[in-house]
Formats: sequence, C-alpha cells, structure tokens
Amino acid sequence: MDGEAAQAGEDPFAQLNEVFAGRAALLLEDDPALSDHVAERLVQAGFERVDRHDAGEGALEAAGARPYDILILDRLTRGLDGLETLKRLRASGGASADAPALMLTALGSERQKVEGLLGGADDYLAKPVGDEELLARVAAQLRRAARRARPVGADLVNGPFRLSFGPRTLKFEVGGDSRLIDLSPLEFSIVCELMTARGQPVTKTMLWERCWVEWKFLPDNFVNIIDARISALRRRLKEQAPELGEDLHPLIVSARSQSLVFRDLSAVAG
Amino acid sequence: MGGLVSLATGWLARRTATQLAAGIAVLSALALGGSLLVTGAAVRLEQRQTAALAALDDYGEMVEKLGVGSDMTHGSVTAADAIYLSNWLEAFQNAPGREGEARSLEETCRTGRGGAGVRFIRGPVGPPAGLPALETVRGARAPGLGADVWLVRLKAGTLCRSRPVEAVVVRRSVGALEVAVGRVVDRSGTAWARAVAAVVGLGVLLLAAGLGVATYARRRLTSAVAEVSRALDRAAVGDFSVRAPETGAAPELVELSARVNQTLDRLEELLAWLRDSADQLAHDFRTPLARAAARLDRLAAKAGTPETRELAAEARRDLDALIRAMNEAMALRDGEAWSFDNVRLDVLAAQAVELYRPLAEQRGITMDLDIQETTVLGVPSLLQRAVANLVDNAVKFSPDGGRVAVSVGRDDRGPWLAVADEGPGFAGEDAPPGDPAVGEARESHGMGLAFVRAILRRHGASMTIGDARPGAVVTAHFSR
Repeated sequence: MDGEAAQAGEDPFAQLNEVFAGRAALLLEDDPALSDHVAERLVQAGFERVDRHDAGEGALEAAGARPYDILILDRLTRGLDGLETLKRLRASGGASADAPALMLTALGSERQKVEGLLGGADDYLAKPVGDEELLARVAAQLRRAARRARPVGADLVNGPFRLSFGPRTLKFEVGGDSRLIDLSPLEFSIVCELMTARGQPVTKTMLWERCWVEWKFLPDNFVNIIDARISALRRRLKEQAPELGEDLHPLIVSARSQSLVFRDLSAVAG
Repeated sequence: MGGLVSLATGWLARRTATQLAAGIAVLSALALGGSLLVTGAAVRLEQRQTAALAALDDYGEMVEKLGVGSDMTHGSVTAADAIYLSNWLEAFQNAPGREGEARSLEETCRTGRGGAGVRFIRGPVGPPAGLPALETVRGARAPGLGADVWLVRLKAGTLCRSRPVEAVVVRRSVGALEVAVGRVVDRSGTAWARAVAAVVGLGVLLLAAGLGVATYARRRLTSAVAEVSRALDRAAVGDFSVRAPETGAAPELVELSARVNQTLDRLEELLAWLRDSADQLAHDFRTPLARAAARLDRLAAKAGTPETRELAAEARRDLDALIRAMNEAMALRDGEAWSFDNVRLDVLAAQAVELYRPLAEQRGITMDLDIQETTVLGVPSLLQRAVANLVDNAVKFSPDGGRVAVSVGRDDRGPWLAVADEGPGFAGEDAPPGDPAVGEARESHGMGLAFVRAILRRHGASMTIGDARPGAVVTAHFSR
C-alpha cells in the first residue's frame, strides 16, 4: 500500500528531541515498573527532568512549587487520587496550575474519560499506552501550550498551502495564483489536525479521537479505516496540487508504525 | 351453590371500584325509592282512613239532622214529604260553611288537598240531590275502611274541573232514602311531601357522595399506580433516582410501593457494585497489562535477532487481543451502559456505512443503504458498536467486488436492522438445518459477532443469521 511506501525521510519522532530538550515533566504513578518505564522513555526522548511521585499529596506540593511543562497523572494512586490532585492544583493557582495535564490511567471508559476532561485534564489515555502514542501525545500538549501565545484564528501557512480555520478552507497558492482545494468536511478536519502539528507526528488514535468525533469507541480495525481515508485524501491532494514535484507527493507520510505527518513544505516557494 | 358463588366473585373481580361504588349508589337509591313507595302507601291508607272516619261522622250527623226514622218507606212518603225532602237536600248540599269540614270544595279543587265533603241523596219521590256522579260511579268497596264504605275515583270535570279526585264514600239506605256521604281524600299530605323531599334529597346526596368518593379513590389509586409505574419505567432505562411514593399515596398501594422501592434499592446497589467492581477489575487488569506491554516494547527495541523481534511483536498482538476483549467486557458493564435513551437506528446505520465505505471501495465492494427513520430504546454507545461491528463483519466477509446491503425498518414485531453480504454464507446448501456443518458455518460466519449478540441481548433484541445466497444476512430484531 502507498501508506507504507511513503515513509518520512527523517524520523519525526527523533526530531521531537529538540522539542523535548530542556523540558520538565511531573509523573504521578504508583506502579514502580510503569513509573520507571515512562520516566525512562521521556528522558530518552529528550526531557531534561522527570519528577516522579507515587502519591497525590507529594505531586500536588511539587506542582505548586515549580512550573512543569507537562503533568502525567495516574488516577488510582496512593493517598489523593490523580483527578483530585489535578482539580486542587487547577484551583490553587500554584506554579503549575495551568500546565497541560495528561491522564494516564486504568479507568478507560467513556464516562471516566469525560470525568477526567471535566476535571481539568487536557488529554486522557487508557493504559496500556505504547511509547509512540505517549510521545506523540506529550508533544501535542506542548504544542498546544505554545499555541496559546499566538493569536486565535490566524491562518496556518505551510509552503503553498494556507489553512483558514474560520471559513474552514484550504487554499493552494502558487505563482500569484490562489485556488481552493476541494475537501469533504472529514478530509478537511484530517488535514487540519495534521497541519496544526507542524511536521510533528500525529498518531492514528489521536486522529480518530479528533476527526471521527461521533464515534464513541475505537473500532478494531480503525487503522485500516484511517489508512483507506488517507489514501483517498493523498490522491485528492495530488490531483489538486499537481504543481508540486512528484517527489513531494504524497503530502501525508507515515511515521513509525502508527503515526502520520503532513510534510513540511516551508522550503517550497509559496 | 358453589358455582354460583364463584360466578358472583368472578363477576365482581371484573368490576372496577368505580363500577362497584356506582352499583352500590344505584342500589341504595332503589332502596330509598322502595321505602318511599311503602311510606307513600302507608300515608295513603292513613289519609283514606281519616277521610272514611270523617265521612262516617258526616253520615251520622246527617241522619240525625234529617230526623227521619227508618219507618219512612215508599208507601209512607207523601207528596208534601217529598217536597220537604227535596228542599232540605238542596239546602243541605249547598249550605256554605258546614261545620266539621276541613276545607271548602273550592279549596280542595284548587290545591288538590282533601277534606271537602260530597253527598248524594235520592228520595222515594222527587229529584235526587247532591253529586249525581256518586250514584253513577260506583267505585270499589273498601271493607278495610268500614262497613258500606266505597272508594270512588272521580275524573277531572266531575267534581273539580281540572283535576281528578279520590273520595271515600259511605253508601247506606235510610228508610226509603239512598244516602251517599263522602270526603275527598287528601291527595298529598304535607308529611308525605316532606318525606318525599327528604328521601329524594338524601338519595341524590348518596349518589353524588358515592360517585364522588369512588372517583376520588380511583384518581388516588390511578395516580399512585402511575407514580409506581414511573419509578419502574425510569429504572428500566437505568435511572434509579425516582422512587415510588410510600406515604401520602393510596393506602392500598403502600405495601406494594415499599416492596417496589426495596427492589429498586437492591437493584441500584447491585448495579453500583457491578460498576465499582468493573472499575477495580479494569485497574487490576490494566496495570499488569501495561507493564507487560512496556516490557515487550523494550524487548522489541533491544531484540538482537529478527526472530526475537517477531516473537515480541506477536506477543504484543496477543496482548492487544486481550485488551480488546477486556475493553468489550468493560463496555458492557460500565455505568453508562445501563442508561437507555432513544437511539436513531437509521442514523447509526448511515454512519457505519459512511465509516466503512472507503475500506469497501478499496476492494470494489458496493454498499447499499436502505433506511427508514426508526427509533429504538438503548444505550447509544453500545448500539453504535453493534451496528459498526455488523457492517465491519459484512465488509470483511464480502468477496472483492461484492455487495453489502444495510437496511433499517420496522415491521409488526418491531424495529429491525439487517446487514446482508455476499460472503461464504452457509457451507452446505442442501444440508438439513440440524446438520452440524451448517452450525459450524454459522459460527465461522459469526466470528466477532459474539459481542454484537451480547449487546443485542442487553437490549432485549434478537439476532438471527439467515441465508441470503450468495451470502448471509444478519438481522437484529428489537422489541421496543
């Protein structure tokens, strides 16, 4: 299949090292083996420090005292549980009160997910979570935090492509000529998710959660479903942007086993 | 006798409380009416007796005044006697203000009340005097009222111009004279009128009160039953916040309400236990699973040989299957999986077809959608899974270039959803239904449908896999 053929030239996950460099994470997890594993992965991926806690009280105190770039919280922990810890932290106005929070928990039902998001979590993951998923999610949270500084609703430009969030359009601008790329609403939201990641990988699970919103569960073969959609999307983009060199297509490439990246075209003249 | 009793109890059992109360009200009204009739008859007899006594008195007085002996016979009456008698009779009949009479004739005729006297005398010679009708209308002998006493009904126009009257008349012969002296019977004594008024009033009151009380009791019972039903209905769709009222409702239902509430409490407790234990199970399973997954990833990363890498990947896939099975089991036990809602089956079908269309198109499979607006009661997330799994299954089993047809409708059994494919369907075309090969084919086709079946069973729906050559059709029939 063309999805497998289209590997990114350089591993986008390796590039995350730059994003993670110098960052600090707080990890609340009371299972030592899992705590070891997650901390090790984060440090390997470039994190400067990972502060580990196995009880909510300690995590709350630490998060109040110093600013973290991300909080990774288990729900069922010794003492104060992860969700309660987060609620108190959000209410306290401490140093990390606004830090992005990722729940990493065994309680994975739809109801519990909603509880988590209402409780102040920015993302909610049910264990077990693979390394690829974890790193992509953490990167997404760091991106979100960085985006807060930028003006809301500004167009996103990637080489000749201009994505307008307001009217929900994708324009192709080449040689002073500008034309609309015809996309279905689903295709637009996929392009939107991938382009917003600015060259960073987006896992298929993340894409499913963000673009197939009416589906309350993850079907067994969601990877096949997404791959079929992406193949069609690649063809549409190629048909509508033939000016781009053959070597740049497909514009959406695979990264590792479960992720996708929209090619960075900033080097191509807009 | 026993049959009669059971017939009666059977009949009573089929009557509502209102019907019974109305029946009792009608019976009591009948009883009151009956007693009214009896009282009326007694009063009437009393009035007649009074009139008869007065008439006998009048008669005695008259005979005394007449002063004729019993020796006066046809033979002994002279012409002079006859003239005297005639004049006397005339005077007697027409004299105003005769004593002993309760009312004048004029008053009796105007009001219908009795008391006025009537007389008729025929002498052996000369014209008769008094009311001739007393001679022509004989009436009936009333021995109960006295000797020679008759009950005479005089039509309207005879005595009174506008109304018929009843009179008690004494008919006797005094010598050669035929004498009839009577009194008009009081038609509606005031006592009787009061009794009638009281009884009628009481009857109306009883009927109104009976119906009122019955209606009130019925309303109270109906609304209490409605409350209990509401609590049960809410519980049926997973909402345990409503309880049946135990006080202030119909006393007939207090016992039942208490029982219903006990059962609801118990059910809620069980569901809470199931939910909490599911949470605990999820934690107990997922933590070691997460550890194993992490270790396998690490193993794969450090693997020296392709064989080790492949083994690690296979073990990871096994773990994924385990996680999927656990997720499905949890999905059926999760808290939200108990709250039912109205779900548009046709919308779910359209969504599922839309979801799998790109996958189908890659293999040249056509997807047909034939839906009518259909609503079922169910857990939205579970039904979404079931429909998606059915469509997924059909696409998976279809040969390249095949056709998958999804249809939703409603028949007299209820709403249904059918997914037909052109997959392997049944193995032996001519095999009898009991053939184990057919069962196996059914099973193999139904691989991955166990979860769908579990979801459908939760919704009181049935799933059938039918023959739709070339292929099979899976139909889910909902009962509500």
